[in-house]
Amino acid sequence: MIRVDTSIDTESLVRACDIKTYFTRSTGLLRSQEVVKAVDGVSLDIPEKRTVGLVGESGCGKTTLGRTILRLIPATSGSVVFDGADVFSADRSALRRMRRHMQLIFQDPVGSLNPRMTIGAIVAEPIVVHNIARGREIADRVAVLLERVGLRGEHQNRYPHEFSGGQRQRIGIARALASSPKFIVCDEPVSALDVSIQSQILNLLSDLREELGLSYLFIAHDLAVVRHFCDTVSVMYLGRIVESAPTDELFANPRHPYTQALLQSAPVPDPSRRGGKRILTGEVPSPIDPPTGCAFHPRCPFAKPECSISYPDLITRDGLSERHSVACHLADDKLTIT
Amino acid sequence: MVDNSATTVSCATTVSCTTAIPCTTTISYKRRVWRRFRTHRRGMFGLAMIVVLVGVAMTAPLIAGNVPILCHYQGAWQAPGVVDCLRRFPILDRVIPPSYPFSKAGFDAKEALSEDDFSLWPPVAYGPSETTRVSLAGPSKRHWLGTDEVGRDVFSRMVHGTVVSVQVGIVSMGIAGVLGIFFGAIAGYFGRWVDAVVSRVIEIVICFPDFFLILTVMVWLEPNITNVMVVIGLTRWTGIARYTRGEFLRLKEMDFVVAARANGAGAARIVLRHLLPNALAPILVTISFGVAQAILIEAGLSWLGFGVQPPAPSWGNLLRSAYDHYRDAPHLVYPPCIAIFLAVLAHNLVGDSLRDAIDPRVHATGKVKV
Repeated sequence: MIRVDTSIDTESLVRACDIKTYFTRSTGLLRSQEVVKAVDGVSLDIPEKRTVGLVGESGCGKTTLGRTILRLIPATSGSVVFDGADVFSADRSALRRMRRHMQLIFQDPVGSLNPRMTIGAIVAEPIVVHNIARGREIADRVAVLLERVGLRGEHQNRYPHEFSGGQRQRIGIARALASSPKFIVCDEPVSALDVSIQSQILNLLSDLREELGLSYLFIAHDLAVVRHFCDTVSVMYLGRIVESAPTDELFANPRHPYTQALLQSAPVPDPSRRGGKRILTGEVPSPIDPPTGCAFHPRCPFAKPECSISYPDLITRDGLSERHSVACHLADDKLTIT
Repeated sequence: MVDNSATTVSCATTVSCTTAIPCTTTISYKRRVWRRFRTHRRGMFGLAMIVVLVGVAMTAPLIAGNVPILCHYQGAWQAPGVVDCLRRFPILDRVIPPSYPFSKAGFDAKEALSEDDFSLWPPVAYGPSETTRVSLAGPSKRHWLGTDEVGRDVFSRMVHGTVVSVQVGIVSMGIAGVLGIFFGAIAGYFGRWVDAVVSRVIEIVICFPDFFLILTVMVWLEPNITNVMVVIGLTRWTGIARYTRGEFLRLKEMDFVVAARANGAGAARIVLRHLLPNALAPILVTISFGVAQAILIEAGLSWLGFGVQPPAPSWGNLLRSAYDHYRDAPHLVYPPCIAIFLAVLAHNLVGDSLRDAIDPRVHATGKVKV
């Protein structure tokens, strides 16, 4: 098995190894079973106090991977070690203790807050579940948390619908922080927000990272956000990681054709560079029936016969640093999409 | 506090508070639904009728009865009507003693009280089982809706029959609600084989035409109101269960439930704090339609003679006896018909409006502003 090694400078807090998450569903009269390979053999290392970005088109399995790591979706195989303990084999009480230290921030600021609960009750939930405080102390802690994320402590007895999208996202962050976690999966936390508010939320997340020593798995499809925010970036395509590197290196020297296409198709805030070329044609293939060999080959401008036969290993290549690995048969040819 | 200053000055934004939130007093989900519900005229009309219906049922002896509400009898003040009214409720009947001698069988308050004694009578001074000499009489000042074949006051019987309908509605849907929510919740929450088993049971129960099932069961049981209510409750829970299951399946995929699971919340907490409160409003809609159904079923059973047994009054058996004497006194048919129609209509209107009020898509189109 190939291990993506990104843990040079600090110890890894979360170590996911060869995770596979398959969904089966029965269809039709004859009950034929379809297997959707949402995540198909992903290994990921998240070092302590670092942020790992995960990018890819929608439907590539980013969200599923994030939730599988937190054991919110059962994995088909693989293992996750969090803070020295195996997440998938933990029993109920051990898992509950683990959950205190790993949290989740959602994309949708509306659906992630229970409309029937007050803000105070929502943020207090982790405190109550993990029995961190009792009685008046709960309200005090909630007030501190709300103020920390830029809301007011008095807002505790209001309901989610009384807040704007950015404010609701702050409430979601306050809830995630309530049990003082070490690791937070940020599942596209800013994609649903206005650009002006995006930067505020990103700044908040980045302040919290410094202050509380948090590690993030930052899921996004916006490359500009990832570049600004992450230490290392992994690019996902159809359930697998195709390229993984420290952020600066990935943006400076992308080696996988898919990464290159993604970078080129990202909008550039420069009016003189009008009408960027449309490099990627076609749709993401269905994960029910993925292409043989390299899943990207039907869309790849450089595809060779071997690409449709075997899946390339995710390994470091000539001329790349050891933390930069690429899963492409042609990575050594130094091809670039222009 | 924010709330006090907020009505006049817009919320002062803190440095990091991105947008000022409108600082009116906080509005809970219940109040938002109620605000929307209030704008539905038909729903409010239905609700008013339900309130009247329940009010009449609760105060039946004060509206029509053969004992005075308040009187001065043999040198003492007594309120036999009020005592009767209160003693019909559980618990209270053990606490409050019956008023002597009014509760004695065969005691005729109208004769016993002389002209000189002060007495305040209900508007219609006849009990539901009290017979007079005039049978099948038309409406008059004394008998507002006339009398039946043995000379009993029809208005009085109608008023006391309301109790049956209200009781049937509340108790049978209470039973159905508890069963339906319980089975729907475990099926929706646990899924897998629990869902498969519960769903099959529901499908089997639905397969039986329920009125005939109830009828068959009532043939074997002693036909009284308790059995009617229990049997309706035991057969009408499937709709509620299916609805609850559907809501739970929908809600448990929502992010706030995922967040609760990520926090390590247990099944009980997720069900009681997250799923049930959000599912309750739609469930109430089905329950409200269910009450209408239950009233109709009870009337049908009583009409066929398998429900409430005469001489105890219920709208169904009133209609039956009116039907039997249709040629002699056709006016007796209308009161029970209209009462059943309005009671069913009221619950359906309330159910309809409630469904609109909890649906966030509706107020975007209409004049309704929240």
